[in-house]
Amino acid sequence: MATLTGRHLTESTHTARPVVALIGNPNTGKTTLFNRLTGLRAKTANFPGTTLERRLGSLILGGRRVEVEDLPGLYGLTAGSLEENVARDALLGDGGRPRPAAALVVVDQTNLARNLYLVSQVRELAVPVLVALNMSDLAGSEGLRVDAQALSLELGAPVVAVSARTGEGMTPLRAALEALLAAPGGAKALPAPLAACASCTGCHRSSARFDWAEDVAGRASSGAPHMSAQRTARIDRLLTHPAAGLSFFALVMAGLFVALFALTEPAMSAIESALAWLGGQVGSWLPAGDLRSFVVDGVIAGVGGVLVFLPQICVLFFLLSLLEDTGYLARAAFVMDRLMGKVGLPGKAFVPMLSAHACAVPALMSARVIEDRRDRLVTILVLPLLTCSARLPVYAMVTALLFSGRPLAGGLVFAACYGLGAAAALATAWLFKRTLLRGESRPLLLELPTYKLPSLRSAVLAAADRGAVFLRNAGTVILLLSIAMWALSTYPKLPHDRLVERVPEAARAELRALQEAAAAGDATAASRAAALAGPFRLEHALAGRIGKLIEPVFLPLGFDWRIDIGVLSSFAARETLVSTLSVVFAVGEDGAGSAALRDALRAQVRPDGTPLFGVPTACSLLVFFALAMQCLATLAVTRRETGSWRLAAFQFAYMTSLAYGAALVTYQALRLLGVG
Amino acid sequence: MNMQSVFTIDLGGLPEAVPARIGSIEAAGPDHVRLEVMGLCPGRIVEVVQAGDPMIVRVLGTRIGLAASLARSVRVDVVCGG
Repeated sequence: MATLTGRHLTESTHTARPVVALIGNPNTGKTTLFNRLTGLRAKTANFPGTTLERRLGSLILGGRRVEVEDLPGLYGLTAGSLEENVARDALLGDGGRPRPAAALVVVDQTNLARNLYLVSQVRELAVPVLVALNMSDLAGSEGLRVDAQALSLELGAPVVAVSARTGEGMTPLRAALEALLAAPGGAKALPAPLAACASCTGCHRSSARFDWAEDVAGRASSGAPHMSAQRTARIDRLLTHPAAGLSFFALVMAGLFVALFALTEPAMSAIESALAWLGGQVGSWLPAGDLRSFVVDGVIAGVGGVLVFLPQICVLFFLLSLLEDTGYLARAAFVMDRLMGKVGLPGKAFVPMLSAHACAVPALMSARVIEDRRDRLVTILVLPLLTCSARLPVYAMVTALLFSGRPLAGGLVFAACYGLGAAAALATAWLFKRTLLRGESRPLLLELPTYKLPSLRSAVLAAADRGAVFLRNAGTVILLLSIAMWALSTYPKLPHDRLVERVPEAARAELRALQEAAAAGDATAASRAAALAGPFRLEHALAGRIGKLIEPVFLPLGFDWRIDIGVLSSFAARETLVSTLSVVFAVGEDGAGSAALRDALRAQVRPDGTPLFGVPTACSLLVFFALAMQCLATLAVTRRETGSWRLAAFQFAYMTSLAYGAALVTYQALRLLGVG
Repeated sequence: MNMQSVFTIDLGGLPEAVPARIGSIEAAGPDHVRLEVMGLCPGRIVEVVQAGDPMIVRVLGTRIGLAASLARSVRVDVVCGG
């Protein structure tokens, strides 16, 4: 690493808005400090050409707006990982971006020696440095004293003690940053010991740097954080214990999972009823016709399909932020590392996999904690196989069909479906790690930070940030695809005279009577008329035509063209299967999930007179829905998280093939065995 | 002559609560860099807090969770007696 102090390049001071790069070790409260400095004005984007997240915020300093760029948390700048390269490029102004006007290095003063390693590396770059000596509240309560003045002399850079958690010291920090930006001349010269360490070459460079860091930390501080260290040691004896630690982990995860369902359920129903109310209002003042159908069934339903994910995303990231702040998530990764290692994934993959049992969308977003790119991609690829809550209405419909009045058998089927999803995800992960994304996994190496009280404020901001990222990056795609699915099942439209032709003769009189009553303003008659006409309209629309076209493809799975329409329409979202089958079998959308649907499904027969939904078909449908990628939102988020439509397409292709193969085997085997 | 003797073993075999000085790192490529920036590099004093796989070691005042396979690539010098 060449010392660049000689080059006094500060291009960005010439532009209107100077940029301050925020850098620091993980677990130093860097994000909390970023939030303190920039408030709610942060934007999230990716570093150019990567899927690594880059947060940008701004603050006013001396009447001038200053941008703050949050760089990835890291221990050193030694080129190696993507995070380190990105941080180096940002600090050096490589890749066509302006050099930052200053670097604000966040240091955990209760962990000074370790943190000074990175400070010394940043200090060697040609950028003015300000050090924020964070966690002063913690240090104070522990009797640890760090002499900011002495440290400043050792580093040749200003040092300000702050507590990002309490907000103490933020005013002096802003003043110091303003003074640094106003001072001419770029980076200051390195003090002699640091310069000696920087110019030292050979294989023991890091050793020399750590010697320097320990030396400086020893001289600048008195006392040590004994209390929190002892407390951490005591708690860890339990929480990282091979048996007790795993039990506690199971308890925490169970709590997380229950909270995820319990806290999001009211919000999700509220969103659904609000949109239903909105749809009803809009429907009542728009004239019946294409526009009303587009607005109500296309746009409003599509917006609902986006918004319904928000509660789960926000709650998951709120809880994960709390868990991470306490230091527990590092322990969770630690205790799960060996178990997850059996399928070639790191311990950190467990939390996303558990969350995927609520919904794959927030789970995919939380897979960012996995550092290794291959491990993260494998996790993302297999997450949608886990049984998310959108599959439950489908399972409920099929089990009601097979085992109504036999709750034990129904429960067993549900459990089997959960097991199938989990087994498929783990087996696929194992396979991908050995084939497509081959390579040694990164063996576990992670800091177990001291336990701390979490910050509610950070958790709220994390939840809001993730929600905004989802809406901005996946929302539009999901909305557009939902509208496309609406168009497929609406056009071309069946003219009225041809509808009458298609309705069986026995029902024509009833349809005509209902339509006349509807025209006279009878709402019940209108919905019954719509239910009666529904199957014929859908059959005539593109969705119906495609369903018939692909019937030969799905016949070996026991699906006829009517089930195929359900499979097609539920490509947007799995639970749509239930409402589509309600339309296909003339129960009407209002009848979805009712006993009327169950009875209608039971009554269906194939052309040869055998029941359509026998045991083989029902089981094959269950297996198909357990494994198939029937979720547009997941595809959109996979694309956003991997930065590649190709990976999203691959995810869709492998899951659909797996689902097809497994459903085929299920159906044919059950038929051969003579079941049903 | 003093009675001290120095044993060189790998970190995976170091008993709990026995401080040792790191002599060399035998891991290759990225793992070497990862260990180094974490402070697991020659000259530092390291101590095993909890043996096993993964294990917990303490270096530079911090607890580090470490896979046994990585620990085996870290050679440490233990000073006995004296």
